[in-house]
Amino acid sequence: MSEAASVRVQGLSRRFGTVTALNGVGFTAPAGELTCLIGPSGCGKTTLLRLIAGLDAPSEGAIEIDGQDVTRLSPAQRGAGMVFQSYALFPNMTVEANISYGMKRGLSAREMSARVDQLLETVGLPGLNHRLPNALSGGQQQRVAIARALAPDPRILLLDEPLAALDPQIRERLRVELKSLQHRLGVTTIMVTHDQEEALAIADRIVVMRAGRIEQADPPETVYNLPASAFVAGFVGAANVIPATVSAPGQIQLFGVRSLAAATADFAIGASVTVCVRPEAVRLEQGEGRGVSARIVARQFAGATQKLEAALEGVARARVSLEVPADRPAPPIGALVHLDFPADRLRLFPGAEASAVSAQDEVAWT
Amino acid sequence: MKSRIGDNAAAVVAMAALGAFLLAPLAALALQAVTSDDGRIGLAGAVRYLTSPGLAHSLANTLELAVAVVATVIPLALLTAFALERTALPFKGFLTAATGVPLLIPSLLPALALVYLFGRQGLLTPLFGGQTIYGAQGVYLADVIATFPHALVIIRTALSAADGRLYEQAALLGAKSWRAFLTITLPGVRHGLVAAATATFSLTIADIGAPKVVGGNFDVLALDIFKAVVGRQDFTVAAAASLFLLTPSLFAVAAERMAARKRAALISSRSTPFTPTPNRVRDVAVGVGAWTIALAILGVLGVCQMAALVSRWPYDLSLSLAQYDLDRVDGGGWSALSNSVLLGLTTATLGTAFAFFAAWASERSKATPALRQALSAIALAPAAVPGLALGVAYVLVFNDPANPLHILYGGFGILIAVSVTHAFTVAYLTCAAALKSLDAEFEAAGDVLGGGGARLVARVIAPLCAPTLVEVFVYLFVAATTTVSAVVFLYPPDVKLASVAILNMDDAGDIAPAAAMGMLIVYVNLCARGLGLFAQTLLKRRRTSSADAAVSGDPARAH
Repeated sequence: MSEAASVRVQGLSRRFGTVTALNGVGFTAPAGELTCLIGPSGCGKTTLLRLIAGLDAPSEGAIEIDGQDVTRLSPAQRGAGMVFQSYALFPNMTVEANISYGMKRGLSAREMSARVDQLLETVGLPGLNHRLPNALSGGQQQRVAIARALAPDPRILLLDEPLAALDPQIRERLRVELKSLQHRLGVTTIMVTHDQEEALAIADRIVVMRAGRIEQADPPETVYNLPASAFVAGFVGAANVIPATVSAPGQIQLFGVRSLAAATADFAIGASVTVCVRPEAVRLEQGEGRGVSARIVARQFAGATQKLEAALEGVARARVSLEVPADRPAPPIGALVHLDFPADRLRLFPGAEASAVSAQDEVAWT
Repeated sequence: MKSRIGDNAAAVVAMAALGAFLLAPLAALALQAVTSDDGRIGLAGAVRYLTSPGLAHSLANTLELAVAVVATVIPLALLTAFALERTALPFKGFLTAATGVPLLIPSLLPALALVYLFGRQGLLTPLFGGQTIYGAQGVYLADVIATFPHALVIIRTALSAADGRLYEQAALLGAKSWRAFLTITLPGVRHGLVAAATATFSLTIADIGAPKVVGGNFDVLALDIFKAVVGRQDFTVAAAASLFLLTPSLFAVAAERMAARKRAALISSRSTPFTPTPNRVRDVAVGVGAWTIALAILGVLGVCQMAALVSRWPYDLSLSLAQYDLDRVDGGGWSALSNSVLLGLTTATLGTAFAFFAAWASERSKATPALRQALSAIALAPAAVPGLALGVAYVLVFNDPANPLHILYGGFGILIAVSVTHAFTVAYLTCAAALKSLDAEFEAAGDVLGGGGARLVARVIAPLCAPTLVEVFVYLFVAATTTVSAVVFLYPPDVKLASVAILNMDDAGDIAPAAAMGMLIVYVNLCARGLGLFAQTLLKRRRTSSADAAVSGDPARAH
């Protein structure tokens, strides 16, 4: 395996006619790490991956691999291995022929064969050299695709939704294997996924994209705990995204009526803000207590936790999602409760994110 | 990028070839129609044709004939296709073979059979009180037999794609089978019916064989063109009449393509295959119909074969191989057959290569989208050009010494060119469908792994398309050996062709040798078809035979 190389992208734009798929994107994928590009469909994550691979040329900007500008190089010259969403294994060729397709010219048949054996060993499929792809399971096909991508000894590995074509149960097992393989090989990897849970589980860094721009590029813990925007909070993990106004120093008004303590130092009095709070951060006080009074309107049992939805009393269409451990007795539907929002778990963002409220309803329960 | 320039060049080359061999001749045809005898541009020639008393007659006859043939063929083809695809009838393989045989025969052969059955000395003529087949009824019957398998192929394809869930749902909602047929089956194949009707219409109006052999005094446009070219060398009238043939075909093909574009995907990836369940009443009714059709077709062939094997029909019915002494009569003899086989092989080789190349350039290359769309639009055009019109256009263009391709004229080259062009659209569409069905990410995978587009085509794309290429090869071979209309004005004196020989022998009154020649073409094509199927089976077996059977584990597949 070559020395791990970093990937640096600067001011990258790609326009298709009047559509701007990527708009001045810049980030760095550190050497040896697994970087996940995530975002809703159409955010430009696959376009970005194809630009890095060299399958498409940017309208503006530069791509560096290991400090070398590769923007004008052909895909094969870049030293990038790629695994496609469909795997794109050549169905008329055996596993061995597929893996040798991209190996350097000039290797003897014996050297090639030895390298194929070694790669199949690496991905955990020894002895399958002479199978055809159609005789393999989906998970095996994925690993052959990885072996084929690794065969030319690439500097970086690009994965386009490599787990999307698999059944959910296998997907979870294979993502663990994928991560351990990547860690073992130490190859710099950039992976596109639309599954935020997958990204949180295996990424060293997450790049959250939206509408052709990068919203945040940070380690998973930072993205989850300190989201850079209401969009990131809503997209990565579940979040309540609630419109509010700063009513006094250290005070906000939720839905324009309920007062709460919050860190308002960055905002002027009277400013419109968007409050994000994770469902598990909302504390449930049964019966009389402090906080905001609400009525339970929905319950979902989710194994380790109970997911609840509460409607704030006296405020139309004001719903809050919360999560409580399943071993604690949860209030029945219709029960009057008090919700406490700890000030240190509230994230405030400037502006009222009108659309985020409706989008939040879907995100919170998925 | 470098690869894009090469791919653009490929698309331009494909378009240039279609331009030289299709668009330029058509333009010449249009120009000739407005050129008067003294070489000046003017409508004199066209007016002469338009005002000739025969035209209105031929035009009305042609339309009447085409409408009658379509109205007969479509219901019969639908019935047969339904029997083959949607019932639990036994012996479907035999039915498929029998009803498909006319695809392999020269269009003159059914007409010859009709002569033997209902002609002046026909076997069955006495049953009709001496009334012979010559005239409109003969042309109609012959064209029904000749066009039927073409309609059947199209409707069968449409019927074979069925979503079993829809029928289960209809049954749960209490629909009887006839209601399911009217509300699910028919709407599902509507597009196939339109396409089949279009093809039948175009084939009928362009057919020269049936009107020539059993037409009697029944004049049609195709015959007008034939007489103008062969009899009077009057190319202005031929061109004007060709445009009359071309126009309805163009409209029909355009309408069919528009309907195809509008059609939503009826079969989704979640569809379940449809399995026919036995239904005594339906199966018996449909089965009787389909068997009648199959036996009628075999009867037609049988009559031709018998006629070719007896000493002298109908006076001396003792068996004899005398009719196969083809060199005894005019028309080209055995060398005509070997010429036809040679034409079939060269047309199939060059045509398959070109159709695959053009389909690759439009479906999978990195050429600019505008170029690819233009190419796929032009590739549909040959389907709209009747063979006779193409033949007249070729004479006009390639007979001109100023044309750099004039060297093709008067040789074997022009025959290959016209045969490839005439059958190009079906070959192209078949290749394009195969290429479209391949994983869209193969090219990207090839680019990342290195080696360039040519290596990917050679090692992945072409091998994956191999069964399709065999199919296209056989199709082009059969098309080249059976067509009369495309080559009848173009064959040089020293290169006689079997399909044309049938026409000439019939003209000279040598009907039995004509039938013998026709059956020889049938057997050659049956061999070609059989070899093709054998090759396809071998290719498919090689692809699926892995070292082991599928392994245990999750069955999730990429596709």
